[in-house]
Amino acid sequence: MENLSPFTEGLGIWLTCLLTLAVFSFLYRDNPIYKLAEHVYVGVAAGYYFYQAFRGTVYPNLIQHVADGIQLLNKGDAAGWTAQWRWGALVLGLLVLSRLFPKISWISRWPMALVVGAFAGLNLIGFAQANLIDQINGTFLPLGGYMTGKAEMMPFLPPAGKPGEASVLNHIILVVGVLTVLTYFFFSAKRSPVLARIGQVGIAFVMLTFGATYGSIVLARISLLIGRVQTLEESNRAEFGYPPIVSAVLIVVLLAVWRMVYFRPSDDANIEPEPARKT
Amino acid sequence: MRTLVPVLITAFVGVFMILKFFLVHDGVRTVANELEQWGVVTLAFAIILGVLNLARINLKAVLERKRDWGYKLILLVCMFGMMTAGGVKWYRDIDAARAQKALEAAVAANPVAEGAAPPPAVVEARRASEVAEQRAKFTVFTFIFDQVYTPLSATIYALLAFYVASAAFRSFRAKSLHSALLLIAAVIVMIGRVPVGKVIWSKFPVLQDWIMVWPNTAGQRAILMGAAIGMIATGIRVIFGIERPYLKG
Repeated sequence: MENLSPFTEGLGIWLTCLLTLAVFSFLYRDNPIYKLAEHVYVGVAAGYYFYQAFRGTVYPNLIQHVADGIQLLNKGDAAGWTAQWRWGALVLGLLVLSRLFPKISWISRWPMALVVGAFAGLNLIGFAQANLIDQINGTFLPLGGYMTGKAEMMPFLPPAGKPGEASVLNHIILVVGVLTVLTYFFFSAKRSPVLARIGQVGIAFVMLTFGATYGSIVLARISLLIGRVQTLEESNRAEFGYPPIVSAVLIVVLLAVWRMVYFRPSDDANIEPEPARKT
Repeated sequence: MRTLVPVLITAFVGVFMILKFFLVHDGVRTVANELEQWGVVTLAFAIILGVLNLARINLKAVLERKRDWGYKLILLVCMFGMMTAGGVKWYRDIDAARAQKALEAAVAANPVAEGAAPPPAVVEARRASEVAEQRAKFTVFTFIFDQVYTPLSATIYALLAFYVASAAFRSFRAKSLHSALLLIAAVIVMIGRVPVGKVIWSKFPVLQDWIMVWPNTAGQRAILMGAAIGMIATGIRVIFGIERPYLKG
């Protein structure tokens, strides 16, 4: 935060600490301090995305594009007419806003139909290329000459101490894994005992994949948590009055007051209604 | 009118997008690119619609003093505050770009011999450009983004660490061979990626690397391929009007 005045820097640090701890207060239960932070977040995010949509897309792709076209036309360049097609996007965009008026909201289906058609067509090719053909190409590799381009075999076993390196065994595991998982997900025909057995191996690979993915997700979230704690620790500066400690005390006091004075069990979304007693 | 027109639009645009890939024809590509841009702009308007709708619903709740109207008022203030701050930032960016152009024009109009002091016009333009750039760099918008949006966003995701950990505690139970595999893979990946894993057993990082590169890739690839086939099938169904998700609501 270089080049900021001490007041602005202090204000930023205080805001960061208060809001961070306000969100963490949800660990106690849903409470007004968390709700405040939540609404601030939604409001700021909505304003930010509005700004991004307008400045990042509507202005350059519509307003600027059409204005450039008009400038070209004023200079006598007929290429400017091509840019005038973009008025169609403005019409479609305004039709989207018809959703705000229930009587004519059905018109918003037209622009949405265009969006769905455009991205269905684009994704059809994109997914076929990236997620199907490229994945097949990357899986079924020739075992000879793969690494060097020469007609030589890759080692059967990976080098000692480096089991992650490419080897015949690892590639066999990859191919077997892909084929068995695909077999497991193949529901279009009645499952014979052989297919069922192959599918069982597929489930094992799926479980390994889910386990590895879940482990990665847990670690990613924990590293985010460590990042937040580090931010609080770095913000604990005497010149600004120890913002994290004071904020934590303040939030705890406010929560205690809220719990003792204002809390009503019916407001608590975490409490499930008691099951009806059998008579 | 309400059903046929959207179906025809989807079919026409979808087929054009596919043709764009297969036909090397300037006309087809130009039309497809223009339609794609229309889609991009329409999506941006959909975001604007979402924000306007959020404003409308919350404003109504505030005016009618409905439950939690105070929070909704805060939401509206933050939203319009961020939009206004964004407008100011945009203006300052334009100002900075203008000052930069003025500086380039001043430099071009006043060539300076090597080693000589720059003329006052260039010095003044440079100073104005630096001031404008500083003003564009440090705005209320960037302040709110850095000190409010980013910490809130990161903390909300960090909060999930507690829930993911508690979910892991419940799901990682070796009741069968397959659930044991899930448990083993997750534990090896988690331990292998933290420094203490290497201290416990030096092979943990190597083993986690192998799991991530080979069995995990095998599973991920098969899932990706299955999803791609599903996407292609759904895309075809949507383009030919067999499935019409945009007609709902």
